[in-house]
Amino acid sequence: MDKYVYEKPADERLYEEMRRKSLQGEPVKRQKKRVKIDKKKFIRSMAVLVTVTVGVTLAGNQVYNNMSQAIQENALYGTLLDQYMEDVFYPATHHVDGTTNEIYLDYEALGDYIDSEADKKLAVSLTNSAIEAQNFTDDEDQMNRVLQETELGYDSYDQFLQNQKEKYSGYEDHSKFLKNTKTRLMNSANSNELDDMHEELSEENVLEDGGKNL
Amino acid sequence: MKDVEIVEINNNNYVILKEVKHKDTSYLYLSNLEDEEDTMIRKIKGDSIIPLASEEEFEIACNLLIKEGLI
Repeated sequence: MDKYVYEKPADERLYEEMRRKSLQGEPVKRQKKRVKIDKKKFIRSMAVLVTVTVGVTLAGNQVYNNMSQAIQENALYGTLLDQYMEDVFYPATHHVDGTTNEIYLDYEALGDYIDSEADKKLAVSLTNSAIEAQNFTDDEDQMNRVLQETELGYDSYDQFLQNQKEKYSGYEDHSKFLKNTKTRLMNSANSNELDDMHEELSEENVLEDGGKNL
Repeated sequence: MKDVEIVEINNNNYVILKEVKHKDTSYLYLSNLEDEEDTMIRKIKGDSIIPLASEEEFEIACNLLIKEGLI
């Protein structure tokens, strides 16, 4: 089992760099120049953007408002992070050293998903986001307060979690979930190309082999 | 392979990963073609791509990723 150490500062550093770069610089003309890039590279770029932006945003001072907003939109919770925690992070892939509190991530437990160092990096990044979400949602009083202030009709956090588990209970294993996550990222990146992408993925057997070829 | 639009900023080519319209503004979520960890958010003004105006606007742009249900 490879040693894994929680890397919150790395995400925060990337977030700060993104914030700084977003606020400075000169206007440039939009040239509408196009290139072709590897799909895998595109997905990883999207994953970095999502995990850094969403993960740190949720973990920051605005966490209460953001999480409340996310729940209301039913966009974040119950999808990537929740399912990652439920299906991947908690049950099979981690071990906490009781003496040092260091976390060990079992890459083998991630199955076919891990086929390169870059995949490991992405898994670590997702795990970081999962920990951030876990830290927030472990506060039951806080989650109850959030849910009470939304209008989704949940009486309690337990009821909300049960609903989410039922909603996303179709995943049979980690690979299936991660494959689905990758497909979501890809499809969300350009919803207009959804059908074309799905067809391409099917042709490459990506949807049938757990994402090994993605 | 995936066909994407790129924009040159500070001599680096950035891929437009996502474009999100919010009210009258379109935000672009960019990733350096050569470095996946180099990301930034810009917005469109006319035929130009310009930096965000404030910390507040940056937070709005980040939250749009959640609101848009990107994941």
